[in-house]
Amino acid sequence: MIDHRPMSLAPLAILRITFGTVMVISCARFAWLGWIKEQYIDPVVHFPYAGFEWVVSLGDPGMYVLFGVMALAAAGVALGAWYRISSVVFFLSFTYVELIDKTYYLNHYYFVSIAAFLFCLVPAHRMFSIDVMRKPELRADAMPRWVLDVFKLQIAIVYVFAGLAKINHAWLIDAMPLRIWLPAQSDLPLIGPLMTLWWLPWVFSWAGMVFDCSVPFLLWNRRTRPYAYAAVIVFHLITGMMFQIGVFPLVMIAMTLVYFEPGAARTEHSSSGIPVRMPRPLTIILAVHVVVQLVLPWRFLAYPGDLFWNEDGYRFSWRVMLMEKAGTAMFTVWDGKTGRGGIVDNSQFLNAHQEKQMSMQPDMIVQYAGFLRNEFARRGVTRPRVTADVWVTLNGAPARRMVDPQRDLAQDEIGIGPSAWVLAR
Amino acid sequence: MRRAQLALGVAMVLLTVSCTDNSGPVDSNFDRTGMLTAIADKIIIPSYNSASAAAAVLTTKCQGALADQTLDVTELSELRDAARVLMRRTQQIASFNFGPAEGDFGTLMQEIGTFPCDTSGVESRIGSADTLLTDFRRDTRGLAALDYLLWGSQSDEQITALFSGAQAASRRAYLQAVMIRLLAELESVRTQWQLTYRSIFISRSGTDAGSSVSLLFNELNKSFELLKNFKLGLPLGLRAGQTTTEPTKIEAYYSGLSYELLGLHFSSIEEIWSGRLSDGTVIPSFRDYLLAVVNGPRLVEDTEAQMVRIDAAYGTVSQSQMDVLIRTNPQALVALHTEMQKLTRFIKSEMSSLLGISITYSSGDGD
Repeated sequence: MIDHRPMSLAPLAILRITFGTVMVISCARFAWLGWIKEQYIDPVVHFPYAGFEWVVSLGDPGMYVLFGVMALAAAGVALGAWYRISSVVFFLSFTYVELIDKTYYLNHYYFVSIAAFLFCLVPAHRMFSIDVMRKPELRADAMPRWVLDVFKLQIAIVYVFAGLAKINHAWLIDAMPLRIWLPAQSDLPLIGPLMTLWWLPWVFSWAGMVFDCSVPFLLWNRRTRPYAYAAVIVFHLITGMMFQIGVFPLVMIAMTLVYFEPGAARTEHSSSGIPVRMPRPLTIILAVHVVVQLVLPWRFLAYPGDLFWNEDGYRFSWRVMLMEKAGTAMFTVWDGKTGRGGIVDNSQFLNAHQEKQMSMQPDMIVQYAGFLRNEFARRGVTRPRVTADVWVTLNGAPARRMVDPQRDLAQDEIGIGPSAWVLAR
Repeated sequence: MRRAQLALGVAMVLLTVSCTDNSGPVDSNFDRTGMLTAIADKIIIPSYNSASAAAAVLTTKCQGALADQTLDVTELSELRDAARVLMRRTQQIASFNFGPAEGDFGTLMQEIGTFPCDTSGVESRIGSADTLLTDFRRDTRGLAALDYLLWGSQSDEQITALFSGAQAASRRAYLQAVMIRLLAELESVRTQWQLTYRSIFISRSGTDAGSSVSLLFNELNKSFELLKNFKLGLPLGLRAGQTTTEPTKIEAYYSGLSYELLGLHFSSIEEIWSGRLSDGTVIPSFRDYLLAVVNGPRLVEDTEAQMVRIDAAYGTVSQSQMDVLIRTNPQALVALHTEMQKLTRFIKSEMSSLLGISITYSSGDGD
C-alpha cells in the first residue's frame, strides 16, 4: 500500500501552485462580492461549532485584515515563498474563518481546510519556488511516492463518500431532490429545455452517484485517466452552471490534476536527483489523518434517528447537495415573572442566509434560543424562557414540527451528544 | 465509464418500463416568462398606474383647495376622500419593493408607508418651514403625515382653521410638499416600470438569486411579514420585548382606516399568490406554478385552506376603529395574527423549497 519508491517532486510543486492560485482567486472573489462584511461583520450573532465558541468574528477592520493575511499566505503558497510560514498561516486563517459561523459551512471549504493542512506537512516548496531561489540548498528533485498518494487518497475519500451518501431511497428511487432542482433550471442556455424532461432527474441522480463512486479509481488508472478527467471537467462545469456553488467546480477541477504524473520514464529520470527525507513524526500525523478521514463520515451510525432530519453527524462527511430542506421557525420569548410571551422577528438578528440555515438545523435552533435568552434578559425580560414552533420540509414532503413547541430550548446545550430536543420525523 | 453507461442504461429502461401508463409523470415545463409577463402587465403596472393616478387627483385637489389660502369643511372632505382612495390603492403595491422601487431613502413603501407618524417631527418641520423632505425621517412624510395632517385633530373645524389664514402658510406648504413628493415617488417608479424595467423583469426568468421570481417571492414574503408583524403584531403588543399593547402604533391611526387597509393588504398578497384578480381575471402566478411542480398540488391545497381561515378570522371583526378594538377586544385580532402566522411556512419555506428558488447569493454546497 505505502509506496516508498522515489518519484519526481514536480507534480506536488505544480499542485501547490495550482492550489495557492485558486485560493488567491477565492479570497479575492469573497472580498469582491462583499461577503466579508455581509457574512462576518454585519451579523449581530454567529453560530460557532461546539467547543469552538472562542472563535469569534474579528469585526471591522479585523476581518478585512484576516482576509488580507489569508490572501497573502495563499500567494505565498502559490509562489513557494516563505512556504513553511505561508502554508501554516493560510491553513489557520482559512480554518478560523470557517469556524466562526456554521451558517456558511460548505463541504468544499472543509476540503480546502484539509488540503491546506496537508500542504503544511509536505515539502511542496522544494521545487519551482521562491524559497529555492532564495536558498538553493532547499532544492530537491524526488520524494517518496506516498506523499502524492496522500492527496490522491484524500480526493478519493471526498468523491467516494459523496457517492456512498447518494445510495439512498430518496436519491435513487424518488430522484429527490433533483426532481425539484432540475425543472427550476429551465432557463439555462443550451441545456435549459432539457431540464424539464420528467425522466432527467433519475438520469442525473444515478449518473451522479456512479460518477462519485467511480471517478477516483478511473483517475488513478492510467488507461482511463484522460476520459475520467474529461468527465470531471464536464460534471463540474454542468453542476457549476446549474447550481449556485461558487468556486467548488474550480477547486475540484484543479485538485484532481494530482492524478496526472509525469510518464514512467521521466519519473525514473528526475527521481535520480536529490531526494527529500520525510521525518517520521510527519508520516505518523499523515497516517492518523487518513484514518480519521476514513472513520469520521461513519459517525452518524452512532446517533439515533433520521440523519437527514436530526443532522447528527451530517457535516464533515461529504454529504453534498443531498437534500432539499427548508424551515420556518417562530421563536417566542417568555417572561418568567409576568408569563407574557413575545414573538421574535428573526430578521432583526439574523441575515437571510443565517435564518434560512437556522430554521432547519437542530443545533442552530438551540444556539439561537440561547442567544435570544441572553439578548432579552439584557433587555429586561425576567428569567426568559425561549420556545419555538419550527416547521421543516424535507425533499418536498409536507412540513413537520421539528421541536416540541412547549420546550424551553434555552436550557438545551449543543455538543457531541444526540440532539435530544428534536421530535422524531 | 462503461459502468456508468451501463447503470444509466439500466436506470432508463427501468423507468421507461415503469412509467408507460398514462398516469405517469409529465414534464414540468411551467412558463415562468409567461407568469412574469402576466404579473407585470395585469398586476404590477396597473397597480402603480392606479396608485399614481390617485396621488395625482389628490395633489390637484389640494392645490385647488388651498389656492385661496383657506380650507373649508367641504374642501377638507373632498381631500379626505381622495386621500382614502390613495391609501387603499397603495396596499396593491405593497409587495413590489424591488427594482425601480428601491430609492435613495429606502424602498418606495418605506418612503411613503412608514408609520406611525412622528407628529412632533411634522410640527417642528412646519414650524421651521422645512419642506425639503429629502432625508431618512420617513415618518414625517408619506401617507402617515397625510393621515395626521388631514385627520389629526378633534374636529373638522379645528383642522380647517389650522390650514387657513396667513399664519398657516407653512402648514399649507408642508401638506402640498408631502403630496408632491408622494406623487413624484409613485410616478418615478411607475414610469421606470413602463419604460425600462418591464422588459428586464420579464427577461430574468430564472430561479437564481436576483431573478424576478426570486425577487417577487422575497418581497411577497417581506410584505406579508410586515403586515403580520408591524400592522398587527406591534399594536397588539405581541412582539418580543413589548410589555403592553400599543394601540396608536397602527397604520392610518387618525383616519381610522387601519383595519380596512390591513384587509386590502392581505387581499393583494392573496391576489399575487393565486393570480385570481379582484376583477375576475385569472392569470398564471405562484399557484399555477406550484400546480406544475412535484408535490405542488398538496401545498396549494394547504395554502388555500389557510388563506380561507385568515379571511374568516378577518371577517369576524366588524369594520371598526382598530385602536378601540385593541383596547377593548384584542382577542379577535390575536386570533387573526395566529392564523396569519400559520400561513408563513406555506408561502415562505415550503413554496421556495418546492420551486427551487434561491433566496441568497451566497454559495451553496457543491457537487
